[in-house]
Amino acid sequence: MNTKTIQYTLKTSMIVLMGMFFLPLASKGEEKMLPPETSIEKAIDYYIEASWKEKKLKPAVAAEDTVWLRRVSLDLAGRIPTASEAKSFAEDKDPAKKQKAIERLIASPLHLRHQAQEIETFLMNGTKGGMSEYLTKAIAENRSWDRIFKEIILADESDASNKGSSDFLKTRVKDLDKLTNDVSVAFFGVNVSCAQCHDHPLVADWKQDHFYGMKSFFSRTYEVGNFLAEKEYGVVKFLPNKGKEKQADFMFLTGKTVKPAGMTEPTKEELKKEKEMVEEWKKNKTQPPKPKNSTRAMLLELALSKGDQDFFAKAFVNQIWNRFYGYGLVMPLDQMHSENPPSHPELMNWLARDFANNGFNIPRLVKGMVSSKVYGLSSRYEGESTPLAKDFAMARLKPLTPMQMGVSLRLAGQFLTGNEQEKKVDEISRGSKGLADQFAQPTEDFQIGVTEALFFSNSNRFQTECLGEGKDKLVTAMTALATPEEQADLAVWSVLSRSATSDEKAVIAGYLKKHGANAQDASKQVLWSLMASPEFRFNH
Amino acid sequence: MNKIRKNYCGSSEHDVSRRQFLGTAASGIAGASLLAQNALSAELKKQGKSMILLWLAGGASQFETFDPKPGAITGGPFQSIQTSTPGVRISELMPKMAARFKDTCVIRSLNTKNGDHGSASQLMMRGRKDEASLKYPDMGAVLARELGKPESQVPDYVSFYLQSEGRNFSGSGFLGARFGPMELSKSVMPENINKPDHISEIDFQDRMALRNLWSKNFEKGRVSGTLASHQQAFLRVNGIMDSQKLFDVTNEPQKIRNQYGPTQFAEQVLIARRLVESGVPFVRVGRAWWDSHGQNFETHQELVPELDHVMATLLTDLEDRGMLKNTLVVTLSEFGRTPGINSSLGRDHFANAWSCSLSGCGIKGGSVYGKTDEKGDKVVEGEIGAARLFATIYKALGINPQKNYYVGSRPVPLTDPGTEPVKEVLA
Repeated sequence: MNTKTIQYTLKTSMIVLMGMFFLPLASKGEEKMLPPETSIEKAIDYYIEASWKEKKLKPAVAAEDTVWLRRVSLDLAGRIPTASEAKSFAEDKDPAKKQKAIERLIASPLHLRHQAQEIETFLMNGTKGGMSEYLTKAIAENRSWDRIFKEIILADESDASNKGSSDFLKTRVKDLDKLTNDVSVAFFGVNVSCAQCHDHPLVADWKQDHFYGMKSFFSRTYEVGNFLAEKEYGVVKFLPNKGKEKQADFMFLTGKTVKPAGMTEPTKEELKKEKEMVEEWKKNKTQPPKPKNSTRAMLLELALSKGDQDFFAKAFVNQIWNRFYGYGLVMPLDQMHSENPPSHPELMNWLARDFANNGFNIPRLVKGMVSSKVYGLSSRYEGESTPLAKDFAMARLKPLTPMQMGVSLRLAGQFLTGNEQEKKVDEISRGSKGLADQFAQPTEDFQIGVTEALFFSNSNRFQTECLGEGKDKLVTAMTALATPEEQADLAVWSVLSRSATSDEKAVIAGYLKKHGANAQDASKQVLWSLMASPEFRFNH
Repeated sequence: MNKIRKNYCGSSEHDVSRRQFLGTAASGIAGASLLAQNALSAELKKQGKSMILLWLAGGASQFETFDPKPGAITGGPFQSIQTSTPGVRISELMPKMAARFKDTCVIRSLNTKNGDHGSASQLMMRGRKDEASLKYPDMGAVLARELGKPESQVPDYVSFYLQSEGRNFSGSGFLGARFGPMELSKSVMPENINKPDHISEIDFQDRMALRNLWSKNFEKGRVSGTLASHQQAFLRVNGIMDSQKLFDVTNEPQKIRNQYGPTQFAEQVLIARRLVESGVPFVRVGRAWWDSHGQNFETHQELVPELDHVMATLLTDLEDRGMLKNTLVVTLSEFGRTPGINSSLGRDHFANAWSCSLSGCGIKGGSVYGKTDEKGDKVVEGEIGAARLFATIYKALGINPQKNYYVGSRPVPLTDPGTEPVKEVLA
C-alpha cells in the first residue's frame, strides 16, 4: 500500500453491536422531515407546535415587544437595550422590526465579542486559560464551526490567522484523560469519563473501548516548551475491568476505527535521536515539525465524515439551542446518547441536517433560532399547570452570565442619548470585566449565593460603578426631571428596558417623595431596587 | 440493564434530594413552602451538628504531634508523654492535649499517596480526586448542604485563610455558588458584611422592601429554582449582616479571650466557636507555615504548642457549653512529613504514613486508630485513605456517606462507592 496516498484505511465493520445503538439517532423520522428549504424558524415552530398539539398543551402568550427586545439583545449582544433603543422599538410600527433588530444586533461589534465569549465558555468549561484571541478572530471572520473545530484540533499556528488556536489542547495536554473527555464533551456532546474505569454503567453506548479509543488519537501529542508536537508512533494500552490488558483501537464514538500507517515502535537508536531533537527544539524555542501521519487529523476526518458527523452537528445545535431557549433539546448537554433521546427528535434531526447542509454556518443558525415564534413566548404562564422545561411552551428564565451582568449593570446606570450611543455602549462593555468577575458562571440548576446579594447591598464597587453621579449618569439625569412620575418612568425604562406600569409609577413616585430630603440618594435607592430585582437578574 | 436504569431515574430519594437541591419553589417564601421545608427538614435534620476544621497548611509533622517515635533514628529531639488514656503517648509538645485526651481519637494510619501541595490539598478537602469533567464539592460545601438550612440567617460555610500560603483549593464544585465558602482572606471580618455609611439603616431597609416588592411581582406565573435562590439570597442579607457581631471577637468576654490567647490563630478559632454556637455548620480555620523543609524542629517547637493550647481550650470551651457532643473538631493537613531528616534539619512531604485527629461529636474519645512501624516509614495496621476518613467524618456527623447527589441524571455518592467509615473511630 502506498503510504503517501493512502495513509490509513477505514474499518467500518468493527463493533457492529455498538453501531446498532447509534442508528436510532439518525434514522427515526427521516421520511416525514420537513423539506430542507424550510427556514429554520419555521421548522422550529412547526415541530414544537406539533408537540404541544399532541400533549394538548396551551403555550404562553407572546412576550411583549420590549421584553422580546431585551431578550434578543442579551442573547445576541450580551447586554440590555438602552432606554432610547427600547422606547423607539416599542413605538416602531414596522412589521419587520424584529428581523431588523436581529440584523442590527448581529452586525454589532458586541455580538462578535459575546459570541466568542460564549463559545469560549463552553469550550474551556472551567479549565484555566482562555481562547479569546483565536475565537474573536474566527468569529469576526465568520469561520464555520467545522473549520474552527479543525483548527482547534490540528492546533497548527504556523498560519498566523490561527494564532491561539492551540490553547484548547495546550491547557489540557498534561492530562490526556481530561483532554479526551473535554474534546468529547465540547464537540460531540458526550461525556465518556465514566468509561475510563469501567464500561459505562448506565449507557450501553459507552465501553472502555470508546474512552481509550478516543484517547488514542491524542496519546501521541505532547508539549515541547511552548509548542505542541505529535509523535509518529504510540498506542494506548489499558486494563479492562474484565480480562487482560489490551491495546486500544483508534476508535471514534460511533465505533468506527482507523489504523495509522507505519505503526512500528521506534528502535532504541531512534528514541535517543528523538530525545536529542526534543532538547534541540526546546533550546531553540522552535515549533517541532508536523508528523506525516497525524492521528488528530484522522480523528477529524472520521468525526466529520458523512454518516458520522451526526454527533458533531447535533452537539453544537444543542449548545446553541440551550443558550437561547434555556434548556437543551437533550439534557444534560453532555449526555447525547441513545438512552437519553432529544425531547424533539425530528426537530433535532432537521436542525442538524440543516446545519451540516449549510456548511456549519454559525450566524445562520443563530439568526434562525432567535427568529422563531417559540423563542418569542412570554416567560410568564397564566394557565393552570406550568409546562415542563422540555415542552418549550413558555420562555425559560436564564440567569445572566457574568459578562451580561457586568455590561448590563453598568449600562443601566448610564443615560445615553443621540448618535454617539453605539460607541459609548462599546466603551462601557469593554470596561466591564472587573464588575463581571464578581458574579458566578451559571450552571445547570444554578443557585445564587448570598455573597452576590451582599455585594449588591454593601460594596463600594457596586455603588461607584452602577450608581455614579455626573455627566451621562442616570442618577443625575433622573434627579434633573421635574416630577417623580417622570423620574419613575426613566428609571424603569433604563434598568428594565420597558415602560413602568401605573402601579409601579405610583410606588416609585411615593418612595421618591417620602425620601425626598436628598433627591440623589432617593434616586439611587430606587435604581438599586430595580437592579437588584429578579427581572434584571434574569433574561426572561 | 433495566435494573440499572431504574436506579438512575426511578429512585424516590432522587425527588427529595433534587427538591432540596433546588431550594423552594419561587413562590415559596411564604407559608406553603415553609410547610414543604418542614417536611424536608425531617430528612435534613442532623440536630444542629457542626464541624470545625483546624487546617494545618503545608503539612504538619506526625512525629512532632500525634505519632512520636522518640529514640528511633527518625524520631528527632522531642520526647513523648503519657496522655490521659493509659498506654497512649503523644509528643511532649502537646501537654494540654495529652491531659484532655478523653474526647479525641488520633488516626495514625493515613496513606493518601499524594505529596504535592496543590492536588493533595484538594484531595484532603474533597476526599477524592476530581474527575476529568466533574469537580467535586469539598467537605465544607457538603456539610453546608447537609447541615445548613436553606433560609439560614447565618453563613453555612466560613473559611479563614489569612496567610498567603496554599489557598484556592476549596470550592463547592458541582454544588454551585450557594454552598461555596464565605472566604475570609484579608481580615477576620467578611467582605461586604457591614452596611456602608452612605445609606441610613431606615433607607437600607426601605430599598430592600422595594426590591422585594418587584421580586414578588416578577414571581407571579414563574417557577424556577434559580429564581428562588435569588430571592433567598436577598432574604438572608439582614441575617448575615447581623452575624457580623459573631466575627467581632471583642464581643466575647475578656476572660474567654484570655483563655484562648492573643494569637491570630487563637482568635479565629474563638470566632469559629462563636459561629458554630450560632448555627454555622462548617468553619475552617487555616493555619499556615507548617511546610518545614528546613528547621523542622524549631518550626514545630513554635507551632505545635500554639495548636496544643488552642485546641485544648476549644475542646474544653465546647464541653463547658454543652456543645462538644454536637461539634466535631478535626485537625488535618494535606499530608505529613518524612521520617528522614534532611540536611537542613527539615522534614519533606510524606503522604504514606501520617496522622490526623478527630474530637467530639460522634467520636470514640481517648483512643488511637492505626499504627505505623518503628521508624514511621509505613503503616502496619489499619491503613486508610482520604475516602474512608471522609466517610468516617460524615458518619460521625450523622450523614450517610453513601447518600447520592445527582449531577444531571448521574448519581454521585458523597464518598466513592463502597467506602466504609472506620467503625473503631466512631462512638
